[in-house]
Amino acid sequence: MGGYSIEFSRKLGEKGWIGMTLPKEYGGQERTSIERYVLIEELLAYGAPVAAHWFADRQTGPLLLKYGTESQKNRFLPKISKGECFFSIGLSEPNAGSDLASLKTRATKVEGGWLLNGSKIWSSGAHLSHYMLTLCRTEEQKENNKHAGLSQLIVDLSAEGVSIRPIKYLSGENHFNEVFLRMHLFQKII
Amino acid sequence: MLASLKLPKATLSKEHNEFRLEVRSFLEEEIKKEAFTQVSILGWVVIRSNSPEN
Repeated sequence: MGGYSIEFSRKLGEKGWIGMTLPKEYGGQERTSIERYVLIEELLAYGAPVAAHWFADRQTGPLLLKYGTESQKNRFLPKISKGECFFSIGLSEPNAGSDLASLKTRATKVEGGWLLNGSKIWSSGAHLSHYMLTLCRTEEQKENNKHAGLSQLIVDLSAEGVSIRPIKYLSGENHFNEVFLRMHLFQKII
Repeated sequence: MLASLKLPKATLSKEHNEFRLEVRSFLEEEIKKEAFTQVSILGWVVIRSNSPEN
């Protein structure tokens, strides 16, 4: 993945090249996956700075389109397509990397929303993103299906209760982060 | 296992290739203008200059 440039992401958004397969009603272009494939191939071949919008375009947008509520689609997808809303992904944890079913971050249902508690690690670009799609346990683990009871919540990374610690390379550059979450989410976004 | 997968065949049409050229034209202009730094090369220089033999 190339570097990070808000300006470049906005330019791609203006050209309709972010979220380009999404429906037009959500700010997309309804272009084909093959066209997106061509675009991505060229962006990567040129080393273009795509990091800012990368996860929102590749994962969050399609995920919200398939599983999101109408409110979430209307709120996030147009901004993602314009290159104005960047997401990171909260999957790995200090003690749960490849085995995500064993993750410890937990969201507990409380009045008006969820109480989120835990930490994520290796979250690319979290220090530069607006939101993090956060995988957490919302129900007790079942012995016969340990992947059941996991949910993804959209966490506003500027919210109170979010702390982001950069994991720096030897060069001093920062790409990965550890993200600590101890907060109340007022909106259920699964 | 892989051999048993039936993947859809996709071929690039003339329109796809025209789109590719449009993307390249945009990138030629933008990448040249911005002159983005390759971070991986910078990283190598820093590590090397800090190594004991240097």
